[in-house]
Amino acid sequence: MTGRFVIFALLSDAHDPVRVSHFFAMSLFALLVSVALAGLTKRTAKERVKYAAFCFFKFLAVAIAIGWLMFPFSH
Amino acid sequence: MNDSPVNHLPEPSGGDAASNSVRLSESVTKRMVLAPFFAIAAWIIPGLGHLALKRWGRALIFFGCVGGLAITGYLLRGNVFPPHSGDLFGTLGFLADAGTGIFYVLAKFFERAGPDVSRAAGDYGTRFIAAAGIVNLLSVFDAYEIALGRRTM
Repeated sequence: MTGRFVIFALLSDAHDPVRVSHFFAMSLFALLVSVALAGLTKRTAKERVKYAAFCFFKFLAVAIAIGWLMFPFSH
Repeated sequence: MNDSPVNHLPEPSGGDAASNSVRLSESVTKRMVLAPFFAIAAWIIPGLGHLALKRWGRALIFFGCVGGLAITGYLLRGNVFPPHSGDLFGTLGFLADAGTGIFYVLAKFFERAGPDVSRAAGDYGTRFIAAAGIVNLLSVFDAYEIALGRRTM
C-alpha cells in the first residue's frame, strides 16, 4: 500500500487525486504526527521511537474506537 | 523550577564578579537578539532553525513530518486557504496553512488542479495541510526556546 501510494504520488496527474483508503490516510497522519511529537518532546533516539510507537498506536486505537461508537448513527 | 536562560549559561570560570556579570548579561542579550532569527528560519523552511542550532535529528524529523503531511495533503487535493478569505474559519485555516512556510508557497506546484473537497480524500487533505502547519509552528517555538537556552535537549 505504501509503495503504491509513493508511486501514485510521483506519477500522479494533477487532475487525478491520489486514491488511498481512509484507514491508510489515517495511519499515515497518525505516523507523521506521532514522529513529530516524539521529536519535539523526547531527547534520545530510543525514547523517541518508544514514544512515537506509543502515540501511533493510541491514535489508531482511539480512531477505531470512535469509528465503532459512530457506527450505529451511520444507518 | 526557574527556567531563566541565565540558568543554562556556563558558569563563570574566572575574573571578578562584576566582569562575569557583564559577560552573562551580554550572552543573554545576544541570545535574545538571535532567537527570533532561528524561529523565522524554522518557519520558512521546516527544520532550518534546528539545523542552524545544530540539532540535526530534530531538523530532519520536522522537515520530513511537515513536508510529508503538507505534500500528502496537496496530493489528496485538500483545500489551501487564501490570505483574505473573509471569515474567521478561513482566517484560522490560512494561519494554520501558512505555518507550513515554504510548503504553503509550493501548494500551487503540487496542487495544480486546485482543491477537491467533494471527496472524503480532499477533506482529509485539508486536515493534513493544517496539521503540517501546526506541527511546524510547534517546531518554531521549540527552535526559539532552544536558541534562548531554555531547552537544553
